[in-house]
Amino acid sequence: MLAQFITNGLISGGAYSLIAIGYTMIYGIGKLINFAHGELYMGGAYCFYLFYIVLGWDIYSSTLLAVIAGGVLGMGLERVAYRPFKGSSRLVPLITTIGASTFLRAAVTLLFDLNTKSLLKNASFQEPFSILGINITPVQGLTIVVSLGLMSLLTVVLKKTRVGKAIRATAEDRASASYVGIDTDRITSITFAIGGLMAAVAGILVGYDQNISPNMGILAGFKGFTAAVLGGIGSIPGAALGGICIGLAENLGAAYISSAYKDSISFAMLVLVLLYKPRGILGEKQ
Amino acid sequence: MLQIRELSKSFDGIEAVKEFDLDLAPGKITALIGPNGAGKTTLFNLVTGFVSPTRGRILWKEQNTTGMPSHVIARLGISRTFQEVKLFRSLTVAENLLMAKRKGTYEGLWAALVRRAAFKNQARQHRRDCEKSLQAVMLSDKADLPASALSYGQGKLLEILKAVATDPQLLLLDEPVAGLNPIMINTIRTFVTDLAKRNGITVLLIEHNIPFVLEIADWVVVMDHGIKIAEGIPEDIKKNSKVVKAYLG
Amino acid sequence: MSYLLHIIILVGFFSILSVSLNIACGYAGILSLAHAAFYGIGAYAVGLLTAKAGVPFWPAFLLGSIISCLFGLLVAIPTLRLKGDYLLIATLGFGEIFRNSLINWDALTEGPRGITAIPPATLFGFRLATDQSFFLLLFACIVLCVGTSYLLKSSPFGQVLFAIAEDEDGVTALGRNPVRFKVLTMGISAFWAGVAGGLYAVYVGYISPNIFSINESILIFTMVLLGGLRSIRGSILGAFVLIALPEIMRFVGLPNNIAAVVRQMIYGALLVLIMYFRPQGFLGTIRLR
Repeated sequence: MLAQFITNGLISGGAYSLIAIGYTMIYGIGKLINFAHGELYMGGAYCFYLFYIVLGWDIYSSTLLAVIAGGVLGMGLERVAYRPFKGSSRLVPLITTIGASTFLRAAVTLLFDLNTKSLLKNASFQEPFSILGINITPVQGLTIVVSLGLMSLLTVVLKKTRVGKAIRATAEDRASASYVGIDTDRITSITFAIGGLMAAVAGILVGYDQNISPNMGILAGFKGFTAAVLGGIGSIPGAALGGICIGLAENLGAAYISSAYKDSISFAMLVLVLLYKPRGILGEKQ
Repeated sequence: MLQIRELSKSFDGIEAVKEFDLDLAPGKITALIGPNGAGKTTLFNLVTGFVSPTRGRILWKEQNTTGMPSHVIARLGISRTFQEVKLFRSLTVAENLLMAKRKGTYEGLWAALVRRAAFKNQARQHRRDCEKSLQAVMLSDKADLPASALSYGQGKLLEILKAVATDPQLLLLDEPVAGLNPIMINTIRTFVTDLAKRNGITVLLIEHNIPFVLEIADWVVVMDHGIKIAEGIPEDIKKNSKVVKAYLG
Repeated sequence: MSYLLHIIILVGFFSILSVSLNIACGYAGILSLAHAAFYGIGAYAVGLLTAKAGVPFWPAFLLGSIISCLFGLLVAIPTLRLKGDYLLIATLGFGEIFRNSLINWDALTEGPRGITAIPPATLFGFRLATDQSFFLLLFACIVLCVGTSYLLKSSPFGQVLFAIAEDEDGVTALGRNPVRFKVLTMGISAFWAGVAGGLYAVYVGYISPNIFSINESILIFTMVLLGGLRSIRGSILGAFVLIALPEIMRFVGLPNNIAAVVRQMIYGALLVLIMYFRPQGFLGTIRLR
């Protein structure tokens, strides 16, 4: 049984890592806690719903377009809730992203209604199979694989590509990056897009596994944020690690302590991390 | 009055202050100088409790204040200013000064809800004193303006007035004349000298403005890389080769 | 007519909530999103005591508000060392923990079903069962809440809070302990939220955990920002604008559930627009930006 819980933890953890990495990158580049990040996750899932279920397109196009939509949504968020408020204290963009989050959740409810929806067309796709005594569905397995894959891809992009290096430079010292000719606004936009992309991927995978609802982003966003802070806000490997930790803690806690209070565990972790280890495990200076 | 013994503070492995010893005599003005990053402001933070030392002792009027919380130390008669002007900008100039003068009286909930006549009375009395202080430095016409309306120099002056309004016995001034024009510098020099000579307040100030230091200080202490490299009367420090090297080398 | 009174009563609840949140946010600079949780705790306390334990209204009401106050202090003590944006998130986290606990603690709180059959308030033996009689009670509480806020604002206590909001170190250097002031402020703010909660419980007669979600906290916060930090009239105006104006949608013919969603969209958009166009709100003098 323990192996099952751990596997479940890794599955959730993978999704949380993707969200957390987005959070951490956006924080790194703009010193902003993006309260609406969960809505990028939710938005990706609903775009997939729109393309795959409502419009009936094939699964590959739907996924690709939904992920791109997530990126676009991220860029839109940057334009509306971050860029006009750059100069001021960190509080103001947090407040505007809170507004954006409320707006997006309501907009999706308006367009699609509050009910939970399923992303499945073909139920057999979700047949669990057994490996070494652990039950896992294809999508769940895919979640672990895709998370790892995306994280690796991101690491390569950040290390080797020009854009990646520009992102790292801007995150480290915006003024100097601007000084050496980096278009920091564009780079910020791209970072938000990447965050949106990764959140959308997580949203699609989890949505396929567990159905979607307009408020699915709140909890997921919170947990992603907790993971990012746990791993040290601004640190991408930290966010990945944090995501896995949250996923494991949640599932093991639900199994051995109480399943009803599963969400409270994450909130409690968030509060504890903020209070006692704000620099996180692999922390950067705030 | 103030005795510092073997005071040390490390941040993340860097020793900001190392085995620092200092004795301050009452009513004298001591200047703390040294290149940037020498640990001077850290020393201030240690004495006023904003930072706790890794090692060493601070004795104020024979009492061990090492590790005491800063608001407690402030109530023991030690006042300070900061490098950045820390005025309460949304309050008026007079209100800023009143906050200091009040020394925490009538600031409870009970007073707010019930004992209103009492604090209003006190405010009226204190207001007169504050106006006198402001008049002395030619700021009385600004009394009811928000503190944000003051110029940089006037702001620094108000900061010093606030620090003095709490009736301290030890006044720590962090770069009181940085960035000011000569007239302002003179005003502050006269003001601070008065405080020490007439009111007997012990003054310790950090400054980079060496001419100012040489004019105002009774005693000069030089810090570099966290340690005291020299101390003495201004005349001697001027000629001290170690000091010259620290600034130039 | 009774519809109008109902709206006024709603505005009344939110006035108490926004004015009390303003004490924390506007006076002391403690941006808290846990306010709806304290509101909920007050409501649940009164609901449980009167409906389940048969406690008469006044003791239950008082006790409920005090319990909210205590929770406010409880949240304040650990979180107040956090700064600005992290504080906001931490208070939100606490709020959600409380709500989650209330939902899950079935034995005590009947879980997601909520508590029903809460008896109306009684004043000197009279049951305040009608809207009109209840409104008198509500109005009295509003006056007390607003009065307290004004008294605090014009007192040395209030001045210290304003100073703390701007520069805590400066306040510390003047010999005051900012933490003590901030904790007290959170307690006061939570107390009044509890008052509003207790009143809500006896007015509606039924409470469920949905009444104090994140959305409620954000709504109250928006009211405070809209009205202007530190402005008491502003907070009341904010409550009026965000509760009464959207009612116009009813007359435009929008069905209830759609209107509710459109409301949320307006609230969300407003937060961004306020920050962009008028960060000091209608009547405030302090700007976050």
